[in-house]
Amino acid sequence: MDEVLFASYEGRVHLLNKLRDGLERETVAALAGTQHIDRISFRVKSPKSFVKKVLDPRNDPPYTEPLFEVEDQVAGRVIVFFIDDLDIVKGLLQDTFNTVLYKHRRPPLDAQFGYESHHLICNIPPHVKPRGWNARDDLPPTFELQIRTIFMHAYAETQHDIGYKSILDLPPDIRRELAWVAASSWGADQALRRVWEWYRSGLSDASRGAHHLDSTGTGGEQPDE
Amino acid sequence: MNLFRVHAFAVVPSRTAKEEKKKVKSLGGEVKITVSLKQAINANIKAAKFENKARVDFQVDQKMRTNAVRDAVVSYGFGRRTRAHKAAMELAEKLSRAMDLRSDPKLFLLTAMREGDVRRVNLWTFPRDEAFQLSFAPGGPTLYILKDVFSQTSDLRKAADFQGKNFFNSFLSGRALDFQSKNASLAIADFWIKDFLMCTFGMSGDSGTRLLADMLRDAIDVVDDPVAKDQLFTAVLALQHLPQDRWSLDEVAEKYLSGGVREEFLDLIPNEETRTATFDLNRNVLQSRLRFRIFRLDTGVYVSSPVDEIGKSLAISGDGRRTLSVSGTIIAEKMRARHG
Repeated sequence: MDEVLFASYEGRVHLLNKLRDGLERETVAALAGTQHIDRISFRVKSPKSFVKKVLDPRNDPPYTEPLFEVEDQVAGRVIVFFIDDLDIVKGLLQDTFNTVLYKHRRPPLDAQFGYESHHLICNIPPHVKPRGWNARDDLPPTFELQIRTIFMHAYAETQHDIGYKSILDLPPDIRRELAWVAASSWGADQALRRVWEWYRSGLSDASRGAHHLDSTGTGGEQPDE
Repeated sequence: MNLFRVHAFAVVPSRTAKEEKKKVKSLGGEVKITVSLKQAINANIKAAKFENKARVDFQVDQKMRTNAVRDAVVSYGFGRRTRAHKAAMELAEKLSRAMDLRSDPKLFLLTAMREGDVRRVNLWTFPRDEAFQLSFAPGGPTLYILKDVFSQTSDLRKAADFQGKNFFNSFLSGRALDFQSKNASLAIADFWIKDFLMCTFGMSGDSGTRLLADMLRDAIDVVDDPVAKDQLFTAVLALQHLPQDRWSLDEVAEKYLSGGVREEFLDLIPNEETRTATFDLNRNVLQSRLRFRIFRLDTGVYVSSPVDEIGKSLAISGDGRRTLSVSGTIIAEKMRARHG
């Protein structure tokens, strides 16, 4: 079963690769001119990862036709600088791609810190499909997009390599270290947002000062508020 | 595929009926499938040419992943008889609510076909018409006026086509037939696809416009013949200024291009589905991507001109050997290693 599934998936990877390229181009075009984008990247799930996902005993219900049903065979990620950029980018992506699902993945309790990311599942638009795509019935109709800040991504990538699925199997001290990293990432995002708001308000003050100079011709300090 | 389920309703409008008692219920239900009905439905599917029609995506609640019309369509295709009947009634009621009191009653037809675990669900509306029926009897011919007939060929008819297996991520897209979707009145244009089907076009306006602009630019770069290039430039200007807002790449080619240049343009389309994909043109995006025409002269001079200045401060004359003349006041100049 594993080998058959592996081979079946691998047989269409060339089409998934072309789709990945088309989706990446479209996403870059959609976000052109948007500030504070760190990077945009797309990937095709490897055959090994695909089989592992499909055969996971926790799937409920289990996949019946995984080549069609698995929605992150092609997935993209947009990393932004600040928390406030998440909604901006999400809006632009939802304007570009018809979205069927949006989830803000975060720990269930406010006092918890862990994986956090914004996930979209979107219809594959017609113009990014490679030739031959519609001739097959074993290809997915959707793809996944993730949006994160730099700090969210820093935590997500490292703890993913460690293996978030087995977090309960980690020694308690390591779990606390990871929780501390997640909390620090969250805190860094909040602090960066405050710094950026201070910086922007400083720019506004500077421009008001310039206006004051133009209108009175005398310049000088801002009047006390 | 095998036709196994048909429902038909005479749907009356009720959208602007203020009182419940003034709302007239739509009449209809499950229809017996006869040979002639099967033939008529197959003929309508063939005539609809869904493979050439606009792709539409259901607008789905992004938290719950639901859409009332999609859910009803799936129930109609895969559900047992009672559930399918309920779904058909819900869709007939929804259609009635989408039609305002200025609309004429319509025949609303639902059909379901199957092949293995694949289902095909089609939704149709046919406008009411009046027809003559001439019959011959020993006493002589008689002319009847038939009032309760619905036209299968009217351009006011509408249809939708959805196919797939019964998975959570299938039946998210389909094809829609609507000759009025490009009507200048938004209420008419949006009635079938947006208001009733709760769908949107498969390609966003900005995506479609970017693709169109890039294709026009690439075709201009590839084509050598000046007459052919002029067709493309005319298309650019027309798209920027004419009032039509909804296009497909196929329609742009059909309306503005001919001969070899049309083939060059169509060759740039990435796949067949995109050729007929309808999108709402965004003129700001179009202008941002097709802002300048750039000319290289035999003297080594390059001239870059906003599209709208052609024919004003910049003139092109001649047929075989074209010449360019431009006049204006210099307000800035630079030195570079390369032009542009």
